[in-house]
Amino acid sequence: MEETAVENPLREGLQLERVPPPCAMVIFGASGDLMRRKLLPALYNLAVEGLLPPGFSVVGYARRDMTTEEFRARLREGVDAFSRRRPADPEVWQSFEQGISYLRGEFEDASDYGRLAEELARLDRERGTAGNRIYYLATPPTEYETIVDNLGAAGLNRSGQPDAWMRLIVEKPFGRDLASAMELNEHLLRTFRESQIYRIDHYLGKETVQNTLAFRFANGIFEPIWNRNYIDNVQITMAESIGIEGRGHYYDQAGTLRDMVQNHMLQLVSLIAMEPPITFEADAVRDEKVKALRAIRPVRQDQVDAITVRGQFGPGWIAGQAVPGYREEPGVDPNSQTETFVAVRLLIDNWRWAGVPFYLRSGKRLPRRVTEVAIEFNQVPHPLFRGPVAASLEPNVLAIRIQPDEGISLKIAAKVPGPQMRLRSVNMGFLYGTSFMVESPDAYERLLLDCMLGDSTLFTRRDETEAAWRPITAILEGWAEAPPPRFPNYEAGTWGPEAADEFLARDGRQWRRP
Amino acid sequence: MAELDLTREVHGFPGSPIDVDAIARELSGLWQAPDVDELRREAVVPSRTSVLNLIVHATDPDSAARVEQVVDRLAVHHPSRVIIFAVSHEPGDFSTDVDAEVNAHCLVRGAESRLAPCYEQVTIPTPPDALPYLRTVIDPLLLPDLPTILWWTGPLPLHDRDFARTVTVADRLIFDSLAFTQGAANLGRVADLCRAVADRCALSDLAWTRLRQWRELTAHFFDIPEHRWALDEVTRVTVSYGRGRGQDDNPVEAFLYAGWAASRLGWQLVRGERRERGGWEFLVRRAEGGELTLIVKPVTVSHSFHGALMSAALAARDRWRSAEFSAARVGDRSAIRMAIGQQGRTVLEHAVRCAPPDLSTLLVHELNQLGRDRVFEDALHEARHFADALRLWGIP
Repeated sequence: MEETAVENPLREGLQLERVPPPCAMVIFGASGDLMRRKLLPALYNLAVEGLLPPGFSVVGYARRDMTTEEFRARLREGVDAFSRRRPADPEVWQSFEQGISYLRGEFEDASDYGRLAEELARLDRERGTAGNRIYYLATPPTEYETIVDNLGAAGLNRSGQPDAWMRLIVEKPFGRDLASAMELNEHLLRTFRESQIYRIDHYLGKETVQNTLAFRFANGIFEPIWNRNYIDNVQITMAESIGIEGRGHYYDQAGTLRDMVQNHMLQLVSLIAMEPPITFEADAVRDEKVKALRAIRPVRQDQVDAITVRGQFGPGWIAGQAVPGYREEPGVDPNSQTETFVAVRLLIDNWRWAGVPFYLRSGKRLPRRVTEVAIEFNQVPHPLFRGPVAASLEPNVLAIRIQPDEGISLKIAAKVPGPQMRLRSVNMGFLYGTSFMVESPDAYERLLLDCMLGDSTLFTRRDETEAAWRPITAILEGWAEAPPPRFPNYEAGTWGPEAADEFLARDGRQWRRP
Repeated sequence: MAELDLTREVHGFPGSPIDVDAIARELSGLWQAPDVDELRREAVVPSRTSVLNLIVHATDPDSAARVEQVVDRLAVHHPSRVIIFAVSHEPGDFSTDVDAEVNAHCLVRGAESRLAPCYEQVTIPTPPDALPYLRTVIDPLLLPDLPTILWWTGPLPLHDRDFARTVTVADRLIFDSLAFTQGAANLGRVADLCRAVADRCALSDLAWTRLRQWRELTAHFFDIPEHRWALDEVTRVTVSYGRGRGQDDNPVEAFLYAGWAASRLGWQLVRGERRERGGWEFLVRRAEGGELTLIVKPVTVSHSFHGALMSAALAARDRWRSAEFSAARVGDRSAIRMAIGQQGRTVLEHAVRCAPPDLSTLLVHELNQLGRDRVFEDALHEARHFADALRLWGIP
């Protein structure tokens, strides 16, 4: 982690141990939806809570012709519509917008970067941003390399001031497969050092994902049983009831494997499977995550059919409403072979997890929106209770619910009250939201603040993205070689294709109903 | 969000001791009520959740009613076993034969949710002279192995030995020194209580909790390395607090703020005097040598801002430069504008939303605290010096 802490005797005992130094954030693609819906509302929320340094400035950079005033008005509308602190507070907005400016520029035109340099120099002079910069790539990935090359050519990756820092935030997707991810990484590294690059996966900014780390490494009782000796299998479900939501063009090129599994789901796998890090510092945590990802058993092309199930939803019903099939969604090829459902079995070849399958399942238009990690424990070694006494007895399951109803539940066996010995499984639940009133910040708030502070713990490192692409690329290649699937193969509003149930049944297991 | 409320009364005899066992029995009985079974049939699991024991001493029937509303809001996110002692006006007067009312309250959140967090509440009508036996009622009703918080809604009976004994049943005592009629004068007594019980029971003053925003914002100025020099070269500090028309002066928040700055920066009080235009002026010695002037002054405000800190400004100067750092409530007073001036020119302005926190927000913050707040204790220690000095010097 880069050192940005400042000794301040007034800070002792306050909630924030560190606050970021003044800086300017340049957002490329600032006229887009991500800026209006997520980034600016997140920055505004930080401003409302007093978490931004005085003098913090935003430079929007995009091709669209717009004045700074029009840009500010557009962002204000975004805050009024999407901020969790909406509508914008007039006093806060008035001072916050003083730090917002807009620069119309082409991504490939070197002279526009000269104007950007002038604007940043002005901010240093007038708002005390001290040469500290964050460049945020909120553009389509096809523009990443051009922008980074031009930043380098204009000298904007270096600072004239001795203690100033430069950081680059890159939005997912980081490539389409292993080769393109490696190529992108190499390209970025020609202009920025790895320690300056913050690859953002907003899932890691979610409170409950971070709570997984707290749960594992702040509770002594789980670590001794967190291994192959006690755990039978791990199931990770990331279900969405929504469809493509107007992202047909993008989604049809990506599919669920790239859109959800390569990033969000494998991040969860790494958090569950990783060894305890030596410290809670960025590289120590990421070292262990990478080791877990690298230990995923290599996927052979001839095995892909045996370890995956893919599906695409047809028309159906969600919450009593008829919904169209994937191929009827706008922007989707009517003969599309893109998967909207994936189930994968991964094995992690290390001492802790040898032989424990990790079942991953993600899909669109499933009955409900839910994300959870379920750790299913082994049955007792010698069952004392058999027959009808224990008919409804199930193995212990520790479920970490990411959304909704964030929390943790443990399924245990208990005696049903009465004269007979009858057992049944009951859930012991801890509902995260019932114990802590603090409103969870939006994932982007946490991540943007971390970037300003120079804390990259919740960002993915180069080797991490590449390790995550390795098994995914092998699956993609296997699918490309296989005969085209018969799509659609599940009805919207169901838990995916029947083959997904058969897939687990072959292993003598069944999916949890999350 | 749907709600389920189950209430039972525990009947006793007028004048007889409170039947604690009967209260405990009724609490258990609530969970066998038909309404709870109904929830289970709808595949919603009532989850009896408690993260702490919250004991509330409500000084009068009006405050008991307010407490119930606040507890309701707290419980959504911070379920506890709540025991409310609702103090009546007349000593020894039980106007009812009801010993207590036990209540279970479940919140059923939206269609997606299958868990309904529930909390339990016991309300015990209490005569005002119950202090000697209060802890004997509290103890058997506590859930084991959970932190116990005692929230005292009115002025603390700081002279009463039974109060000091009652306090030690809790891990934390929450009070609000703005509720004291002579807030500043009582700072010394609170500091003494703190010293006496700190090893067993931490203290939380909601007046201090309200200062959290101000402390954050003040610290913010000096997170910027270029401004750090100013902390060693402060020449003048001006702190203003609200005084509602017709209300007794209560500068306790202002003194706590000054105490905080003094304790963090190693300042020592030299002398003080009354200002002609209201408030007080102190001469203070800085840790590194040199002196500064500290002004604490009232500004007229509406009732809702009575006693609240309204602005804080620090001016600093050394041989080469000068700067002023100010934060003040502006507009409808729900935002705080921060400004940095250098050589008489404003170089940066910055506003943050800082509506005065409501009671439940303040309490939640304190309920999240475990252990002693050393920064508060240090600030209280320094604040008492300011307040005591005025008294010793006969300054009104």
